[in-house]
Amino acid sequence: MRRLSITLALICLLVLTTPVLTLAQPGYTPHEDPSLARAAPDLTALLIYYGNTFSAAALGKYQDAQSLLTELAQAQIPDELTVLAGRFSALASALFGKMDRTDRLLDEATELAATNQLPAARAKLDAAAADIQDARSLLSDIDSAARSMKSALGTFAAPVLRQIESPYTRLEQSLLRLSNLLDASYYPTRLDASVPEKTHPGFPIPIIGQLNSPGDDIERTLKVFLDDTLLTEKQIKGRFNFKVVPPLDTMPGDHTIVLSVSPLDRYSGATREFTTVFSTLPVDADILTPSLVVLPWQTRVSGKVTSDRAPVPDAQIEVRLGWSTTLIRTAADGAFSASVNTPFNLSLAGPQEMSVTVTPTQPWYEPLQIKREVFTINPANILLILLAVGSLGLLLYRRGRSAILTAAAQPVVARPATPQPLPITPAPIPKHEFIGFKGIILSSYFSAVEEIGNLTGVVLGETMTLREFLKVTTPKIATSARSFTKLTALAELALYSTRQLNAETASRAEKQASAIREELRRATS
Amino acid sequence: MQLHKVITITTLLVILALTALVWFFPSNDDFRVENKSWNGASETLSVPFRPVESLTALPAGSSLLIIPYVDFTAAELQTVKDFVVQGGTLILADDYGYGNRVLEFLGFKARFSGRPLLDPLVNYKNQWFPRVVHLNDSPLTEGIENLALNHATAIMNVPANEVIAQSSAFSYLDLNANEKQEANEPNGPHPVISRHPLGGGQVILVADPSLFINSMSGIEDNHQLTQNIATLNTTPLLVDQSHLTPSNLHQTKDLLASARGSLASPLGTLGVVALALSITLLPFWRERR
Repeated sequence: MRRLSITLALICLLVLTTPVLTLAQPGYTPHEDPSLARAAPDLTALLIYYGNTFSAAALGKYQDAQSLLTELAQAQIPDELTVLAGRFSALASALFGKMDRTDRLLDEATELAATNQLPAARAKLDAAAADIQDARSLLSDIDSAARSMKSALGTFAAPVLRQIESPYTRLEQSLLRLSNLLDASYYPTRLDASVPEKTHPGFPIPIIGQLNSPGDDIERTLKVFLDDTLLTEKQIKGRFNFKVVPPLDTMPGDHTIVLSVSPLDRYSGATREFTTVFSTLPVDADILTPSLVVLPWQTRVSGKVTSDRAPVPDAQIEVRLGWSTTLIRTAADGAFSASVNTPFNLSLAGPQEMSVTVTPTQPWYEPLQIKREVFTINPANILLILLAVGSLGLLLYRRGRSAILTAAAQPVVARPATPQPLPITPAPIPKHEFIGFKGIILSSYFSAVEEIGNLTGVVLGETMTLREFLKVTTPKIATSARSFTKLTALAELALYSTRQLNAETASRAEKQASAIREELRRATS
Repeated sequence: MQLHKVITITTLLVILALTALVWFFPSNDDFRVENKSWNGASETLSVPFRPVESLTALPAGSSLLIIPYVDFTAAELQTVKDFVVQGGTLILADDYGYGNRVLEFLGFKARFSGRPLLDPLVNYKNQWFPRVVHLNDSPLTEGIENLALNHATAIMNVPANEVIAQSSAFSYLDLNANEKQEANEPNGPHPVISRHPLGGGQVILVADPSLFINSMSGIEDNHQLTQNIATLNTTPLLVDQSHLTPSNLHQTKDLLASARGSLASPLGTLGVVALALSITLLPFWRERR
């Protein structure tokens, strides 16, 4: 019992500790659950980056300043500051826009003046002057907004205003640049070209067009880019017509093809951009698969791969059934036929998924995957299972039969509740063959046994000892049990003891038998 | 019942119960496709993605996603290089793992910073979740306006024409890990996704593998990024699970799976049947003796 307790305690300890050790989380996770993360907008950072925005404007980097404002629009700002920050950003954006436009107008006026187009240059200058007036008005509004921000955010406004003064000074100075115009000769270059709107990776693209430069007919260098990658470089003059091959790994989707002629001496450069959609062609496959597959034997799969009714040659076909994979290639007419090895597994019978994956060699074709259900039968496993079940059945049959034989060989205690007790032949009781005191005692005993047998239905069998009979009948003759115990002891004394029997012993046996008879009679009545 | 029988039966029952518990207990490993909780990838990297447990026999021309939290052997590095050179697409998603080992072996100058990328302004909830708002035109960014990262890093030494996505101008690398921007800490924008051609293939670097966990999928346009990666190639995208940090639970599950695999093999099946027959026929043999 002690050993059992120790063993069970150890097993309980194992049960409790093993899952804890095994199911524990990894030690370091380089991320956190976003649903549990705390929202924490950073106001200090907001103020710093407003300052950085005006610093960028002060350096004349209006585009950068605009970009920063655009990004600030996506910042996490507390609701109570959203309106004010939005107004401030809108004013600053308008101001930077005016400044940027003014810069460009001044540059354009410079270029126009350089080509002696003075009236157009004057118009640009007037527009720039108007923008500067607008910018001054905006600066006033920003001043008001900055004061509001100051009251809301403390010391924010002052540094911003200091930073904004500088770009205005720079703008005013830039007006003076107009007085220094440079003369320059200029020959524009015109590039006309066409590029297909749709094509495929690895498929040659025709580039057709014409290059025009006034007053001269010289050879120029034309570069063709796919996105930012240089595809080819050609020397062209006048009309041109050639093909370029895009890389095989060009991803499907919109791509930009750029034709660029570099400037040469006094000839300007020219650039044309085209958007071309790269796509792949879908393929079809007619596939014949068996409806029934016997494991683990081979089975045959065949079919034909086409694209827009044209065969797709040399495409890789991968046939997968369970863990087994077979690879083949299509013939010139797109047809294929494969012997597929079927895997050996534990299944007896049932549907399995067979997948056929088509991977064309040509990059402009799309791969294809087709899945089919096939019914598989595994005769080897069925045989093994039948063998196991049969042997188990045999075992159970043998055990049952053995139990029946054993029961038949043992004394049967007849019970009233049992509907059909097995027939047992009782031992013959020699009523009149006993002589002497021994005879009297045994006669008394057997008469009591007969009475008890009649009442309880228990028969003293040939192989049953006196004590076994006593044990079986005692619960059923509660009132006479004591007397029958004493009588059984006297009968054993008579049968097995060397002790000399006397009249008193015989008399006691008779009395006990008589008492038993009486008690049984009372009990039954 | 005799004591030794009680102990034997109890022990067998306990072993069976523990085995069942480990087998059916849901995975909690980061980035694993079997893990259905917030840090797993059961939803994000399900079909058409296909998990692989080793880097052997990679199909040429397919796409492979590696989250390198376990170091590579020299043979594995060579396998990865061969895979890319022969036309494969490698998506290397790393933040604080062994991604730089791969980049070094492939001969790239680009490196994962390994420092936290924080964004105090343009973020989802707080600065540990930078939002990516600068996306260059690419099949990878089609239909995407924003991405949300989760404890990410940045990619360094990337040429401008190879950048696909970068963090906002307000982001910074927290070099001293004090969660505050200081003068010497590099300002954004920082590249977080880039594309690098190599041989006939390409390598796509992603500075945050947490983009692929279940809980990040529904945030901003992260799900669309996963979809775009899946459509890079029409063959199923392979997800390498052999370089994820294995937990005790996963190792135990692996052990059970390999035992199951052994039993499911022809030899194993015959062994099981032979054992069953031996046990059932043992009483006959004893009886004859």
